[in-house]
Amino acid sequence: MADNGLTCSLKASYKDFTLDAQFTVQAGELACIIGPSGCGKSTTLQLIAGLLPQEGGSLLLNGQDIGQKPVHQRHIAMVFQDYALFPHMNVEQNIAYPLKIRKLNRAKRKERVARLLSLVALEGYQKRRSQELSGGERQRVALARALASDPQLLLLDEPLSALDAKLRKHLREEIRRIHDETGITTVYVTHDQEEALSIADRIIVMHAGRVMQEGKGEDIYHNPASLFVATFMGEGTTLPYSIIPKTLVNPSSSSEPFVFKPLEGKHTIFFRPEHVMVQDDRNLPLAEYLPHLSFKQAEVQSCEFQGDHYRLACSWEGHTILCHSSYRPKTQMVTLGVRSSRIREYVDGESIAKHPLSPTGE
Amino acid sequence: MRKANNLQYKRFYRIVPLPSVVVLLLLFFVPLFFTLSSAFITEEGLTFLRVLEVFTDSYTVKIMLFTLLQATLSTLFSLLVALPGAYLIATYSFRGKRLILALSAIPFVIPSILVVLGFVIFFGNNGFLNGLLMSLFNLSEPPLKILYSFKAIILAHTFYNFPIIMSLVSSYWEHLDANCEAASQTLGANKVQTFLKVTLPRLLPAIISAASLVFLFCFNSFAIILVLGGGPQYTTMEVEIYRQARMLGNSGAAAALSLFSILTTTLLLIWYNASQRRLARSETYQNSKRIIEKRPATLLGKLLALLYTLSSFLFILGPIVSVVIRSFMASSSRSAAESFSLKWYRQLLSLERATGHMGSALGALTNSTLIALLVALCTIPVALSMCIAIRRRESKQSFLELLGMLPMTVSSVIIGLGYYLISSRLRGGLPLGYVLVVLAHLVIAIPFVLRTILPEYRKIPLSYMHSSLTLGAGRIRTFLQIELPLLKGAIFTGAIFAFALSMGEFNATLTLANSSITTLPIVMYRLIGSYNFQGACALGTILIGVCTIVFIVSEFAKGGTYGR
Amino acid sequence: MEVLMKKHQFVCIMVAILTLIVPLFAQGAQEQSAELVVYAYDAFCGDWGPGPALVEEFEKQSGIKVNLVSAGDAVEMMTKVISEKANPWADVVVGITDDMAQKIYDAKLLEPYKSPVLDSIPASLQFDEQHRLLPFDYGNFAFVVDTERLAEDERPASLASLTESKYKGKVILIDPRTSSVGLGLLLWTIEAFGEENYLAWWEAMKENALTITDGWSSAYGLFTEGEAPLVLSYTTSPVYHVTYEDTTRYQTLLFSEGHSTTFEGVGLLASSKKKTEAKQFIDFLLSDAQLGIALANSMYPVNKTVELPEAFDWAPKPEKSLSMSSEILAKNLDRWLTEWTQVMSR
Repeated sequence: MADNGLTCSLKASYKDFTLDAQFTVQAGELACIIGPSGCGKSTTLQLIAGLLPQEGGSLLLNGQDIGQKPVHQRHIAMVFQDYALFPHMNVEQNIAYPLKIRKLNRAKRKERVARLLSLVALEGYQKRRSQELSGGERQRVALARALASDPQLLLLDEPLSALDAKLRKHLREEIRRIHDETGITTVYVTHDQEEALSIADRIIVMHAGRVMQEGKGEDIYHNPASLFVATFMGEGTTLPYSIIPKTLVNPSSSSEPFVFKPLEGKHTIFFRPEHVMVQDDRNLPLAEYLPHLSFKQAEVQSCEFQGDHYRLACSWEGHTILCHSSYRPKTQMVTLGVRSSRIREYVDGESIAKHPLSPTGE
Repeated sequence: MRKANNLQYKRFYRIVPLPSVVVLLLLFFVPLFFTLSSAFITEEGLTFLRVLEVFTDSYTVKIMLFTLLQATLSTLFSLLVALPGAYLIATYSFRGKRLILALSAIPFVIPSILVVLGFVIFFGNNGFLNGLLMSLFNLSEPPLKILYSFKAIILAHTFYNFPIIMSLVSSYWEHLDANCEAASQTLGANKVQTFLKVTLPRLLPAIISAASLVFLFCFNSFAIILVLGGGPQYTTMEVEIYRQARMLGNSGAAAALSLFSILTTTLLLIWYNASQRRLARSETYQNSKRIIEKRPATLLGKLLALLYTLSSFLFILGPIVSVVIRSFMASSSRSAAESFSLKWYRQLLSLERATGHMGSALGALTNSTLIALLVALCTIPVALSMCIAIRRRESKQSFLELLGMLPMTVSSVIIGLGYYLISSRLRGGLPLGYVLVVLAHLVIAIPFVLRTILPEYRKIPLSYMHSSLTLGAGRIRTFLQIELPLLKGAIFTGAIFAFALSMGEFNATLTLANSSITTLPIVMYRLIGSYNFQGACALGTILIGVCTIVFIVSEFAKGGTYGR
Repeated sequence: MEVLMKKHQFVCIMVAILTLIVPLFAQGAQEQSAELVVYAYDAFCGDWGPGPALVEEFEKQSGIKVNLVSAGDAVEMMTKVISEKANPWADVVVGITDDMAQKIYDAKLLEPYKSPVLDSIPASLQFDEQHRLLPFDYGNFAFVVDTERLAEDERPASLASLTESKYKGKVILIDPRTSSVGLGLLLWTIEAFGEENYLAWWEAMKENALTITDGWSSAYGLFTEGEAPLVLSYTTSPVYHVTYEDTTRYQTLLFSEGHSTTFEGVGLLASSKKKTEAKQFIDFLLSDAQLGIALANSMYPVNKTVELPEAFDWAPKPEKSLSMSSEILAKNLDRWLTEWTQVMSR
C-alpha cells in the first residue's frame, strides 16, 4: 500500500462489460494503461477522474480517499482524446482558465501561462485560437492547460491517437520530457503498445475490464503472463504444443530430461519473431548444440522490408511462423530455428511458471 | 461517449429545471387539465362514456381523417417546394438570400387572419395578381381562380410554410460534411443517385423536424381552412371543438374532442422526439461549413436560381406586401377611388383624431413591445434550464423534452378554453393581467425556443464540460463560462423568435387580459371587427415591420458564431 | 460557496412564485366590497366600445363606482357567469343575446326586474316577458351590397332570390358553427322558410357562395376587398362607412321575407348584494346611455325617445322582423347545426 501515488480498486458494471480493476501507480511514475478497444481503459480514467460513478472499491490518491469527492475537487487533471480546447477562448485564456479558478491575479496568470507554453515548446502562442492550431499544437495546449491546474494526478486519454506517425513519435518524447520535468504522477491510456513500451515506467494491460498484467515494459514484453498479453504486446507466433516432438532438436541433457507432457486444456507455445533464426542468415548462426525447435521446409509467403530488417511470414505444415531476418532469403524454402529458452508455454491462455523446455540457468 | 451521470451534481440537476416546470404546470397543464377534465365529469360524476362516444362516432372519425389528410398533403407539398430552395441556399451564395431567410418566419408569427386576408388581397379574384394579369392580357374574367377550394387550402398552407422548412433544412444542410457526397461520386454514383442515397438520409433529422412543425401548424389551422377552403365540407377538428365550446357552450363535448386531438398530436410529438435523438447523434460539431461561395455555374443553374428567388419573393412577400400596401390606401370622399394616404398612420401615432379603435393603437404598440421584451428575457433562462436537465439524461426518452414541446401541439382554442375556466376563479386588476399574459406567452414560446437551443446544446461535446470540471470549475461555473458562451447564437435566435411570437399572439392574450390590457393583435382584430380593415392593415404593417427588423438582425448576427 | 449559491437560487425562485400568487388572492378579497361589478363582452369594454364612456357618465351622475369587467366574447361571458354560480362576483351582466339566453334562464341566475324605463321601450322589443333580460340594443341581419359591383336592377330583393344562378360565386356567407352572425343567418332561414325548407335554401346556396368564412371579420374583410358583391352583415353596417369613410358605396338590402332580429340584453343577477345600485345602472343603460351604445355598437337603440344621427338613415328598418323563442332554439340548436353540417359537407 503506497502512501503516495494512486491506488485503485475499481468496480463498476456497464451494459457491455463489468469493470474490476486493481492497480497501483507510484508517485511520480508515468504509467500506461494499454489494451484493445472496448477493454475499459477510458472508462477506468473516467472513474478515476470522477466523471463516472463508482460502484464499490476504493480510490486513494496520495493517501487520501477521493472516491466521494466531486470532480472539481479531486485535483486530477485530464487531457481528453479530442483535446476539448474551448473554442471561444484563445490559447492564453484556455490555459489561464484553471488559474482564474484558483484566483491568481492577472500578472501571475500571464507569467504562468508563458512558462507553461515554453514548457510545451509553444512560446508566443498566447493569442492564437484553437481553430488555427494543428493537431500536435492543440494537444500540447491541452497538456499545458491541464498542468496549469497544478494537479496531483494527470490523466491522458489516448492523447496521440489522432496524430500521424512521425508526430506521434516526437510528441511522446515531449510528453515523457514534460513528465520528467514536472514529476507529476501520470496515467496514460493508449492502444499502441509501441508507445507504451517506449515511455512508460509501468504498464498496465487491460482486457475485458480486468487487469491482465502490471509491471515494467521489459517484464511484460519478455515474460507475458498470458497469451493475450503476449500477442497484444508484440508480434509472435502461437503454435500448438503438439508440434514439439516433431521439431525439438537436442533436448536438454541436464538434470531434467525432457518429457513430452501435454497438459489439460489448450496447451500452446509462443515465441517472438526476432528470436527466430532463418537458415541462410549468416549473421545469426544457430548454435546447433543448444536445444531448439527446427522447422524444416518452411515456405516464405511474404517478405516485407522494414528498414533495418525483413519481416517474413513463413508457412510450415499449415501454420504461419513470423520471423525477422537481416537479409532477404534467397530461396523460397527455408529452415527456421527457435531456441527453446525463448519459448513460452501457455495453457488455456495462462502462462506456466516452469519451462520444461529450457535448461535451468538460461 | 458516456453521459455525465454524476451523482455529486444531483442537487444542481434537480433544482435547475424547477422554474420551468412550475411555469409550465401553472400555465399549461393546469388549464389543460381543467379543459380535459370536463370531458370526464358530468352532472352524474365521473364517466368515460362521453369520451368513448366521441372516439367512436363516425362523424368525428371522418373529421379527424380529413384533418390528417389536409395536414399531410400540405406538409408534403411544402417539402416539395422547399427542398430545392434549401439546396440552392445551402450550396450557392446569391443576392437576396439572407433576406429570404430572414423573412421566412414571418408568416408563422403573425395572426392568421392577417395571413388569410393578405392571401386574399394578393391571390383573390379581385386581388393584385389577377388584376395585374387582367390588365396585362386584357381579360374580363380573373384568370386565376385558385381560392375557395381544397387546393386553395393546400396552396395557402404550402406557401406559408415552405419558407420555414427551407430555412431550417438549409441551415442544417450547410453543415453537412461534403466528403460523403464526394465519396459517393468516386464510387460511380451520379448526382441524382448520390442525392437520393447519400444526402437525403442524412438530411432526415432536419426534414422531419421542420415537417413536424408544419404538420402541427396545418393540423391546428382554422381560419385558413374555413375562409380559403370555401365551405363546411372541409371541416377540421378545431372547427368542431370551436363549435361545441363556443356556439353550444358544451365544454364537455369540446373537451372530449380536444382529448382526441391532443392524443394524435402527442403521438406525433413522441415519434418526432425519438427520431430526432436517434438521427441527430451522427452530426456533431464536425467540419465547418462547406464552401458556399459558389455562384451557379451553368446558365440553367443561374436561371433556376433566379426563378426560384423570384417566385419565393413573390409568394412569401406577395401577400405580406399586399397588406402593407393596403394600409397606405384610404378612400376619401364619395368617389370610390382609393389613393395613397398616410391617414391610418397619422391616426395610429395619435397625430390625428382617431376613428374608433385607432386611438388605442399607440398604447397597444407599447404594451405589445414591453410584453414581448419581457417574454424574450424570461423564456431564455427557462429554456436553458430545461436543456441542461434534458441533456443530463440523454439515453432515456426525455420526459422533460416532451413536456417542453407539448404546448405546441395543443390548439389555441383548447388552451383558451382552459384559461377561461381558470380565470373565472381568479379576480384581479391590472398587474395580474400583465403577469398572466407574459406567462402565457412564455408557455407558448418555450417549445420554439427549446427547439432552437437544444440541438445546439447537444452539439457541445461532453468532453468540454468534463474538461472544465477536471480543471477545477464547479458545475455552475462550467455552465456559465463554457456552455453559455457557446450557445450565444442559439440563445439570441431563440429570444428573437420568442419576441416575435409574443408580438403576434392573439388568442391566449384575449382570454387572459382584461379590457385594460391591449396588445397590437387585439387592436387589429377589433379594427377588423369594426369595419376598419385598412386601419388593421396599418397595424399589421407595423407588426410585420417589427418582425422583419428583428429577424433580419438575427440573421445577420448569426454570422458570428465560432467555427470549430 | 456553490452550495450556498444553489440554496439562494431555490429561495429566490420560491419567493418569485409566491409574489406572483399572493396578489391573486389579495386583490380578490379587496374587490368584493366597494364597487358594482358589471360583466360585459370584450368589444363592449374596449376603449372604443360604449363601456368606458357610459361608465364614466354613470359614475358622475350617480356617484356609484363601477367595475366593468371584460369577460371574453358573449358566449364566454355567459359560460363564465354560469360557472361562477357557487361563488358569484358579478352584479350585472351585459350583452347576453336572445339566442343564447335559454342557458342562463335554465341556470336560474337572473332576477326579473321591471324597470320603469321599460315604458319607453316598445313591447315588441322586450323579448323576455319575465323581464329577466332587458334589451338595450338590437340589430337586424341583412345582406349588404357593394353598389359598384352590382347594378341596381341586379340586386336581390329576397332571401329566396339569392339562390338564383346569376349570383353564382357572388355571395359571402358565414359558418353558423363558428360565428354568432353565421348562426343568425341559419336562424333567419329557419324563421323565414320553416324547418322543412331551410336546408333546401342552403343546398342551393352551395353554388352561389363564394366561400363560407369562419367569422364576420373575415367575411366583411373579403367583401371590402371586392371579392364578392354580397355579404351577410347587419342593416346598420353602412352607417360606419357613411360616418367615417364618407361613402355610400355599401348599402343594405331589404328582403321581402323580413329580417331576423337579434337582441342584446342586460340582466340583474339574483345573487347580487347591491341590487339597488344595479337597478340604477340598468335604468341608465336603457335611457341616457342609449345613444352612445347605438353609435359605438352600430346597432339600434331600444329606447324610442332616442334621436339618431342622419347617418342612420342608411340603416333601413325592415318592415317584417323575425325572431325565435329562445326555448325552441335551445332545444333544437344542436340538431339544426348537425343537419346543416351534413347537407353542406356532401
